[in-house]
Amino acid sequence: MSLIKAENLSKTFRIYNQGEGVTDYLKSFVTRDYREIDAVKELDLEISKGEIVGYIGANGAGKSTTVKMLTGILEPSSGDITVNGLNPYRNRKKNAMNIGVVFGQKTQLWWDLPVRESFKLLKEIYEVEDDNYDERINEFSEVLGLDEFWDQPVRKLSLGQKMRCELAAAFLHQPPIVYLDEPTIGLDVSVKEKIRDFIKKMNSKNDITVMLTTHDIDDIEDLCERVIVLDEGKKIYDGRLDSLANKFSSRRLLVDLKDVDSFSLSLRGVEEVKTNDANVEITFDREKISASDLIKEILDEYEVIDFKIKEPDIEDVVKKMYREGIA
Amino acid sequence: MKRLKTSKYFEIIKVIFKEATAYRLDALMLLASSIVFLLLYYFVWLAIDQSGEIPGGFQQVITYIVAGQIVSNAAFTQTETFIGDRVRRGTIVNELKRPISLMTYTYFHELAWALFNFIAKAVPIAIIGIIFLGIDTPNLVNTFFFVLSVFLAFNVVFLFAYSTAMLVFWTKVDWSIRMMRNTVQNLFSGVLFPLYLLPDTLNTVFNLLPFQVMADAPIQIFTMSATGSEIYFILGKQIIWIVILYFVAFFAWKKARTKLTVQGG
Repeated sequence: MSLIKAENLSKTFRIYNQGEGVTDYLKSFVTRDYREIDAVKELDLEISKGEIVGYIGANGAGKSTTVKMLTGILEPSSGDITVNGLNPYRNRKKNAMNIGVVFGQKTQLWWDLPVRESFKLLKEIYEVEDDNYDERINEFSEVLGLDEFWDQPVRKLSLGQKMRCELAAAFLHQPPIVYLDEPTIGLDVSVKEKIRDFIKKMNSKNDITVMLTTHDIDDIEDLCERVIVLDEGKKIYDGRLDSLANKFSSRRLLVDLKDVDSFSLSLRGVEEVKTNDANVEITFDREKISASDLIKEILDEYEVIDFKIKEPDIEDVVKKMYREGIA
Repeated sequence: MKRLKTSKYFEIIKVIFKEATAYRLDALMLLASSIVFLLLYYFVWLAIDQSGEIPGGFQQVITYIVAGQIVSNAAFTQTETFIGDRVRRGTIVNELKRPISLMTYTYFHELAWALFNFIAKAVPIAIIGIIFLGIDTPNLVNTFFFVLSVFLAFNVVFLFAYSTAMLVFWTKVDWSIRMMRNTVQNLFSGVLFPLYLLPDTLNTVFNLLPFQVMADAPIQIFTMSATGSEIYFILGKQIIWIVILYFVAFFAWKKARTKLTVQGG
């Protein structure tokens, strides 16, 4: 049986147009000019207990809006949601007991208080028993290293430290479901690893279902067996990660050249060549051609000043899905 | 489970109170400005007294005005800013993901601040009023009921402010809403001028508004112009307004919740 189920889910926002200049501004008090934006369109979702599902898509694809509807924060414009047997919007408080949520860009900790106070308050709000609380904090500390900054005020923490706290806070009441909305945004590699280890551990030990939105391909590859891809509010892929794996193999190579205009390249594995003012941007498939081979080819023929390889992002994956079709 | 549930609210008060004390310097400055206002009121009414006769005399007026400052500093809330900040930044999602209603959480948050303001501002003002401005002091019974009535006044002010705060979901601005609420509240509640100075017909109208129970009601207990059963009448009136405004606040939130957007991020 599915733990999270959404059917025909849509969310439409009204964007009010204030226009330009003073007259338009004054007019906006009387006539309300607006256009409607479909943030999420006729979305069906089904997630079972114990899954870690990657929920990906470009900026503004509707990922966060979906999470806000699943958590009961936003009311769907249409469609049905059932999470652990409850309608999250109508039973917001009851549903909140069953879920943990991290909004990566919006810290929930109490700014001026030591970390320990924030957790004591969360313990009471989520009605966690004393014994469970002590046990879990110890367990979380082992992976996340919370004790390093346990007595420091939150405002003095680094972004990585804050995010480690957020993660621990989401799992504190051991909910059956945890939604993580960009939990690794802006973090360095070592913190990202800690966070991934923690998510893996919580999932395997307590069978906690995790829905993860991210822009980081490594998060997905490391954690998720299943991914759902969203574009402009619509689901364009839902299935196993490995059948999608070739979509993740695109890398971009930036080459600074003395003479950009004469550049041309056609090799197996090169997907796109974009010429800018002073450099060339080459998208290639690392499964078909290695970066070193590609660079060698270019060095042989052109005078190269500098080059760097960029990690792929979700935008590239979605682009590639459109270019090549899905799986 | 029952025990756990109440401890939730105590913990919120405790934690937010601690947070408030992190702003000690801030509180000290605010106290200083409150004292300046207190003295300003004192000299304005002294000047009015010297230019003509005030009904009831200067002593009665100044006791009323100082009591008004005690009440308005304790029964004080910035609910509009609390909500407005969170709506504009989108961090309201954090309040809405927890198993506690927004109104309940905001209430205990503001109650903790009111408690802090009571200690850091209202009590010092009372002491200054009694020692330096020579105001009349209530007897022990009225002092007790005064404190109780200030607490009820806080509840009325909070529920009123929470209702107006819901406008933030439409306007996205909070400062102007709070200023407007504060101004109207000060004008009609007795903080700016004693309501007993008003002509009878106007006084009757003022008495029918919720603002009267926000300041004038506890002030009457402080100045001993209400004693015995009159005190119960005042407290009863405050409770009725709390019930009415609770429903207003509740439905205002119901409506506002559908207006929530928090796009992106």
